[in-house]
Amino acid sequence: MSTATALAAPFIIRGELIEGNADRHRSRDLGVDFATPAIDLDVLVTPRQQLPPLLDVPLTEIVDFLAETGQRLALDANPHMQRCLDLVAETNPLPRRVVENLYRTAPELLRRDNLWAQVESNFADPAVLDGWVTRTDAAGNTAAIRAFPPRVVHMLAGNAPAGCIASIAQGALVKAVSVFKMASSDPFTTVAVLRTMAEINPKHPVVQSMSAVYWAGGDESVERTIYRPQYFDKIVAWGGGPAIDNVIKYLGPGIQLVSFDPKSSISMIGREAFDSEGILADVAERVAADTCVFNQEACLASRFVFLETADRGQARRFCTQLLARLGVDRTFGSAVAPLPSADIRDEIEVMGAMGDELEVFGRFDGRGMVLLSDEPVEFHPSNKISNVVMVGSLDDAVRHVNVATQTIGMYPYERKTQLRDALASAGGQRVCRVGTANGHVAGGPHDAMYPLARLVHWMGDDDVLGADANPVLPAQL
Amino acid sequence: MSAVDQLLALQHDPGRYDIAPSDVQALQIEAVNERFAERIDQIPLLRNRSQSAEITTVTEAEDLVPLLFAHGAYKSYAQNWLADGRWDRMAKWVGTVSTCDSSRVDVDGIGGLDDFVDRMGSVGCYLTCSSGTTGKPAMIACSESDLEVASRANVTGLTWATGIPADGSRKLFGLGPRTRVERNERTRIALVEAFSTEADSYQLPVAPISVGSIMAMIDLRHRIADGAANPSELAEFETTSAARQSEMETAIAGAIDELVAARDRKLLLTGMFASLFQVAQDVRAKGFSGKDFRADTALLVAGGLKGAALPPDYREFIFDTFNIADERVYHFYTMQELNTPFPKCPGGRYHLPPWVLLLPLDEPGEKLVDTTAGPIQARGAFFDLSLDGRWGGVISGDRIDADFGVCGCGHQGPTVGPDITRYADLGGDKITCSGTIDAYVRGEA
Repeated sequence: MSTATALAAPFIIRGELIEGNADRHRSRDLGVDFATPAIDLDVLVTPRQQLPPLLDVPLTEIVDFLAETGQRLALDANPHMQRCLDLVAETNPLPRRVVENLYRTAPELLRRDNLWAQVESNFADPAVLDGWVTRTDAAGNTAAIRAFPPRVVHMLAGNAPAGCIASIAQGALVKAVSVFKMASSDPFTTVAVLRTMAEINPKHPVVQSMSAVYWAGGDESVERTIYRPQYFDKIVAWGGGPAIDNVIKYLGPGIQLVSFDPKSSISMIGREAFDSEGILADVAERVAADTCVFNQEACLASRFVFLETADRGQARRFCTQLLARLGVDRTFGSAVAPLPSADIRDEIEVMGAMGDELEVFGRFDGRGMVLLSDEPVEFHPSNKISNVVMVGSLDDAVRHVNVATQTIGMYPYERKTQLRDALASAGGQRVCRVGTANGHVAGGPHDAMYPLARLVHWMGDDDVLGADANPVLPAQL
Repeated sequence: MSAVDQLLALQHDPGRYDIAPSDVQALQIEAVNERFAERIDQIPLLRNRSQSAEITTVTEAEDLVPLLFAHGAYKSYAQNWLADGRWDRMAKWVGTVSTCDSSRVDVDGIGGLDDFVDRMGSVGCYLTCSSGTTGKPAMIACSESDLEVASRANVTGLTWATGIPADGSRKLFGLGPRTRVERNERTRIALVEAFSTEADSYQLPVAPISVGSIMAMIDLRHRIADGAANPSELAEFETTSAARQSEMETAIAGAIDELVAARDRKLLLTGMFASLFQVAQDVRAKGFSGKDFRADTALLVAGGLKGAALPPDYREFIFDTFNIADERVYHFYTMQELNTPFPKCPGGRYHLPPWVLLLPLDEPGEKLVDTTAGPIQARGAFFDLSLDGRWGGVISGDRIDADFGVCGCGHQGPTVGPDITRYADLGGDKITCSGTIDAYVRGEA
């Protein structure tokens, strides 16, 4: 691609737009060139002598500002987001329509009740975010506790263009000083959101706490310099891959990784799905809905279906119905998705050619495929491929759950209660009704943690009443 | 004489690397069709491909593209077959991707992967194993004829590239660990017999690595991922690795002494850059360098750096240490999926002989790219007509610079430029929230 066509990807530093084309980069997935200003490392770092801009801003005011931002992000009235949609459509493998639908969720993400639900589930007493809260122990000692604002680098994932909005909200709710490191498949959205905020009020402390920049993940000249506890307390990473492997070497005392680890998700379907044709059709549609989230690029998208049946004829009926539902357009997925990588195609083709390993439903046409087998396939199904694995009982499927298993969509719903302890013990993180993987109960944990509580710098101011906590022992006789 | 035989007869022709592509194009397509007709009944995967692509004859190179096997085809087995000892599955899989009639193999009582490899060898199906970047090794079936072609081509390639005659007059140093893999061993023996003698050659004395031991390491990795490995197993693995490392160091110390003692001999050194660099450092530490070795030292170096971190001047350092002139270095480019190595000429490009078709593809590996305007960056794909044990058409994971014009060295025929990059190594900037348990496995395994 020639210089003339490199897309402009400006930075934003505490409300100020920084334009320039000093550095050229190439997007990871689609190989599109984009140009950014030169990165000024000094402005990314806020000296520890300066108190965080949001320290004394009440949470209610922050929530008001975020909620207003949500309103202003409404796509039809926001030229930055409209322009951004055109740009992301060029760098991101997600179809434009899906990106558009994601952008349309922005006001929802920043709704007051959603933001408060996060705060209230993460902090037993949200007042710790606004000031020093006193508690007293059994001995009558008192302590003032504060969830002090941290300095955070957010390494944004490339597969979810609206994900940065959730990260901006997280940063603001804990009053963090935040640097957003954008992904090469979306070096635009975060800047568009922060510009929208700056237009509401460029001096607002939320705006003054946030900067968004791009550097190529793993670029030592940047990362070795700024990933230090003197500059940052936490690095938040959404996902895995080589970009995270690079970060790990900079961790040490005083600088921690809060990692939303790379995950995959599954469905568990009980024999009750075969009780009637109507139920079977409904369950097949629900599994397909969970499979096709972001064309199966999302961590919560189902990849394996553990189907409780010993009857191959039954399993085939399910597979046929599931295949039909994979090939439909959805709000967050397209009827025809990009094809899987050549490696995966090879594996499916060879296993299919062996005749007795995998039964393959569908073809490599982007409309999805279903692979029926007795054991899970060894590759990571993606690009709308669902591996249906026959199991004698859902209890047998638990052994396939591990610490990388995020969401488990279940049918019938009642069996969640029966299986959830075993699933948690195996490492799973969330069980839900099949078909609702992409929905969330507001304020729920994510990847087995309450992230906001982990982001803050917990500071204690202790008033121990005893005269001396380390008295001199009586002299030895 | 068939078209295949006509082209393979050129293996013995001194002018084999100086043939204009247009002079053999028609013959090559005819030969591909001969191979296709023969293999379609022998290789189930090819039969499937031919049906799904609806191609029964190749009229031009373009038709061949949907019939090529991506390198991943040779690692498409399920690893749990190995872990669970399901050798019937493994044998059937080998038979699906190669010409091997695996129904002739008796899988009863096979005790492990090495045993399986031996059992396959007993019916003339020799498995080689390459460690891939993804951790799952390719398992590649060779026939007896493939072993012969591959080992001979290495010898003739060395002579073509360096002018060194196969007169048995050199002392050969094998400075890398040996493998218990039939193809590698045959290639080594062919080199020794051509340029040295078994008695007058030196081989680094470490226990040969077998396919089974490579796979055991990979299997352990899987067991760690599944949470099935005990801490004591991990500790034992680390102990074994340390012991192997120490055995290697002792062996290299011995090799240094041998090298120094043989410094007034005409030498042929073989190995990979990483081990050669270590040897060179130790030779220097003993106070020897280029002036102590003869000016006709030759070097055969295989592979790239394979992830080893060496200083930028590692080549010069190695060459200076042993007094190696550029013209006596045999470099070649090939892959386990092919038989034929492509020797590097003094102009710095790798040359393909007329029994191998160069098929430069777009990055996804779906279409031939236009090469009429000169050299072009492309995904490397090849059809090696000499292949007997499997299908000759392979799509590689490499980005190459392909050219059909006359090379700077004066020879005609297709060439590949010196800069070869694995697509997998391009761009390490991916971050995504979806991933697998593989990301949770730490350590050497």
